[in-house]
Amino acid sequence: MYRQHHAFVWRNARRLGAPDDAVDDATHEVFLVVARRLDEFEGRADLRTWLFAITLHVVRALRRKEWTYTRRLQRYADLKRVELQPDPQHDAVAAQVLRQMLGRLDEKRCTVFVLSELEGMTTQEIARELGLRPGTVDSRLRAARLELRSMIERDARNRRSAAP
Amino acid sequence: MTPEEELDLLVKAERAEAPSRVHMERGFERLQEALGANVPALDIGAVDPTQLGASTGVGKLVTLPWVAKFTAVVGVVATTGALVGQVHSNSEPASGAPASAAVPAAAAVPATAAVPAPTAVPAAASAPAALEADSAAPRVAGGVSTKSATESSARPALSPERPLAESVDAAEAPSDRATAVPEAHEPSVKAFDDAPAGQATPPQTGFDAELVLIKRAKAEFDRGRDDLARGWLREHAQRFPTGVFAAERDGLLVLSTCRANPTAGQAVAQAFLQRYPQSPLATRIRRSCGFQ
Repeated sequence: MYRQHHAFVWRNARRLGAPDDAVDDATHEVFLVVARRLDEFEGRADLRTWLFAITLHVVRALRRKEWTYTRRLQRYADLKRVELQPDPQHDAVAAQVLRQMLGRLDEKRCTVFVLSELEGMTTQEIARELGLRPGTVDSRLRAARLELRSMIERDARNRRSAAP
Repeated sequence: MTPEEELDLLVKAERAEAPSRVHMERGFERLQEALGANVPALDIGAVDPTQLGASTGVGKLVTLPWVAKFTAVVGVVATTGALVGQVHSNSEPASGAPASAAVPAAAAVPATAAVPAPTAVPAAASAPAALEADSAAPRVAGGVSTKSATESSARPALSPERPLAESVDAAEAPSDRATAVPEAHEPSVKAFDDAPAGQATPPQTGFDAELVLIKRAKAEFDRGRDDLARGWLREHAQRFPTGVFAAERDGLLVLSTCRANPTAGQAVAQAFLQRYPQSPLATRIRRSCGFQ
């Protein structure tokens, strides 16, 4: 099970907001929980959705410690402000940019967006697994895309206005 | 490019992200250890997938805009780079030769363990001990240096622009590949290996991520697990080809290669010594690879 689902948990921990340097820890915690609670899994939900839910819980727990991280990060940022241009052609950077934007999304929208756009689940599957109406899934997905597009536009505007 | 197209590009890039095999194996090992030691799992309350779509309970992640994060990374690297450069000049051998432009400032990073760590980068205080210059290293039998020149020259040539990791890969015995070759894109790793459980989430910076990779490589190297060490070093080479710790990475690769395959090791050691003649690891490499 670990080998089969490690990648799934790892990538979704990042998407749900685990900082890159804490993804290993988050993944580790998820499988610790799985090992302890496997007997609780009754097969009502898809195994991957169950794993996704555990991952979300674990990442939330990590977020509670996030303030220290962000505060320190802000201090670093104040040390030297250098404008970096994102390069969407560069995959690793592009992926990181998207994850940063997901972190700014509403959690419900983020969850639907990740399951749909990144994990390839259908509206029906997501609705069934999350106990939502298909219309709700679709509207959250649309809202997520709209918000992400707005972030892209806003960042582009900020870059333009910051340019000398 | 429209925002819609840009979003699609970002999504495509994120879809391609995946952890490496080495990463998974290390995680599995860690999980087995934790389960064996009966380490309690994080208390996350009841897990009901159908609640994913409903209440959130916890506030949203407070995340700085990505621009600020990238800026932060650059700030940290720039700051520590300056410090490291300072340390480097203090740690050069008695010859007094100034740090050459061709030698990255990172070559001196080992010495950061001996100076107060910058407050912004606490992890530097625990920089790998093995990176200390000329620390005690097992001396390779002198017979190594008697290997024929033909054997050495049969190894791949090294270009200054080419990360040493690639050259070492080419020089390795095939048996090494089965266990240590990372896949497409490598994940980042957790920082602060030694931090006690429950401590704040470590910062996400290029410097810290680099340091963790090097520390892990060093730990595996010290345990004699060269294949895993090279896995971490390759990850570093892929993600930070010209990173702050590039010289340390290459130095560890050389030491590891010398231990695994002295003949191939001598070829890459020679290239390393040409590229980083002032490296604090130079003497140790000369010794371990049979040049002395």
